[in-house]
Amino acid sequence: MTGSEFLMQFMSGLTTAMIYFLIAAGLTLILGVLKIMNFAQGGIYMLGAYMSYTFIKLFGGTNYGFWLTLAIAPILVTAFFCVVEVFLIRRFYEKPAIYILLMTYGVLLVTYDLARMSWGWIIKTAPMPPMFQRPFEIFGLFFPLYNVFLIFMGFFIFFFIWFIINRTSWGKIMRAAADDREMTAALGINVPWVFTAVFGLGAWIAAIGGALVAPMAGLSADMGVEAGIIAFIVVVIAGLGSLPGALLASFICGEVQAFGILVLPELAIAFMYLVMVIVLIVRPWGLFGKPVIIK
Amino acid sequence: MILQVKDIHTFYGTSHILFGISLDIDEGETVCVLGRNGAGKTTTIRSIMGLTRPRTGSIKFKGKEILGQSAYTISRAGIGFVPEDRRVFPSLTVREQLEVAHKEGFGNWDLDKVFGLFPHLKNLQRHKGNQISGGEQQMLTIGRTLMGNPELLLLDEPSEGLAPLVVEALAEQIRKLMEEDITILLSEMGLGFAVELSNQAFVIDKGENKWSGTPDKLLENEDLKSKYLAL
Repeated sequence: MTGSEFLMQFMSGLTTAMIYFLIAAGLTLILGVLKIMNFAQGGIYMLGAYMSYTFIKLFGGTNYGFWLTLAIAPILVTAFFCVVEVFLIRRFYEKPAIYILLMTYGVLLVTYDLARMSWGWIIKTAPMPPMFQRPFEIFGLFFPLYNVFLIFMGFFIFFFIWFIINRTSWGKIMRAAADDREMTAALGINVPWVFTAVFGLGAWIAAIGGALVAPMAGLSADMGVEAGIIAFIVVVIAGLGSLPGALLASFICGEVQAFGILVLPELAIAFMYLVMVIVLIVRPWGLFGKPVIIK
Repeated sequence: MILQVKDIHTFYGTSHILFGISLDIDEGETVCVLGRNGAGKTTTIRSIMGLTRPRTGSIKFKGKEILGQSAYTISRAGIGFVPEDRRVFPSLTVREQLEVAHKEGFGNWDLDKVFGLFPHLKNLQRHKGNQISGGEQQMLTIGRTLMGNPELLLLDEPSEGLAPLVVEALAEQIRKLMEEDITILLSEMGLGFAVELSNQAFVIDKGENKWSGTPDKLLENEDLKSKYLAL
């Protein structure tokens, strides 16, 4: 393999990694603070993508329309899922985990049908914003500019969430509630609303992930289920609830896939699972997780 | 009267823990609830705080019924809770957990004032909650609750598991709090520092009130002490 081939493959792996990260980061956040597995996460990503498709079309595929879409569509999807959290999910936090699993799985199925009803069976692709319809030159190689933008957005969102969690008063409240929700409540903090806010932030990340993918991938209702599986694998590799872990796990999965395809193309789809299996054997608590002792 | 607990019955699941506990606390007083392990001290405090809601009875704080309200509403009404097991947040630094608990209220507690009461905490500001000793955690958990500026402070067995010297320092710090006109409710298993600080004592056993009166009277009453307290 030449240096330039390597670089191209690496960049393509990085693009995939960022999509994985955007899908998994919200799930990681919700898992870390609320301690629940949100099966609806893939559905949020999918609706984020479809909603953006509609808005990008509505604004006539312009640059301006694209930026406006990035601002509006994920927020709308987030608002919808905040309502879902308040009315459907919230009541099950103190119940055994299976209630949440069933509830969020139910929500996933509803989003699936909602997408089929609203956008139909035919695969949709949003137009690429004109400003991104040119390649980006790196060491004499040409790489799609939009992919570079996506990679940038992935890192940006990682630092954005990291900043919120570690450097804002809101993040302090989130971490306190994640550590001990009863004590946090006893200090005068309205924990149910903290949870809604964290759920909303997690939903927003998935929705913006969907929005960013809309101009570069074919959209179908199935992408939600697929994304849900990817998110789950990334979270397992990362260690439940670790955000830097999710970034690293996404990177590993993206790159293993990008380079693995060159060696064993017929195994392409299986590489993520292989990584997961290896991690589960060597380090069952994940890359960044802590060993859990079951008493 | 700042707090009036009347005939509360509290359950954990199906097991009946409190059988009609009643307490009256006047403003500015320091009172203690005494009883052996399992007498119902922690459950009484958790009931007041709304963490384990009593099924029947009444709890009035400054004349208003708070039974049935959520813990955060009760906290905002002006009751501060210092749990027996401290419950510091492991992933927050000492400073962060003080900041996160800050709210306006009865007193004028802020970071500087808490560091004034517990100077040692100032040096530990950047340490995470799980990197400090038990005595330091006890200071932190009291400081954290004070940051919420409560009018009534519930301290559940604060001396539990602390070395004698640390307990002495803690008693001194609680004396300073008493000068601030905060109403304090302490719980303890035996006749330790809580009795010394209090001007009213309640003895409970098996979830029932057994006796109440001044600490002097309690100290004279050998029968009561041997029957209900861990000595």
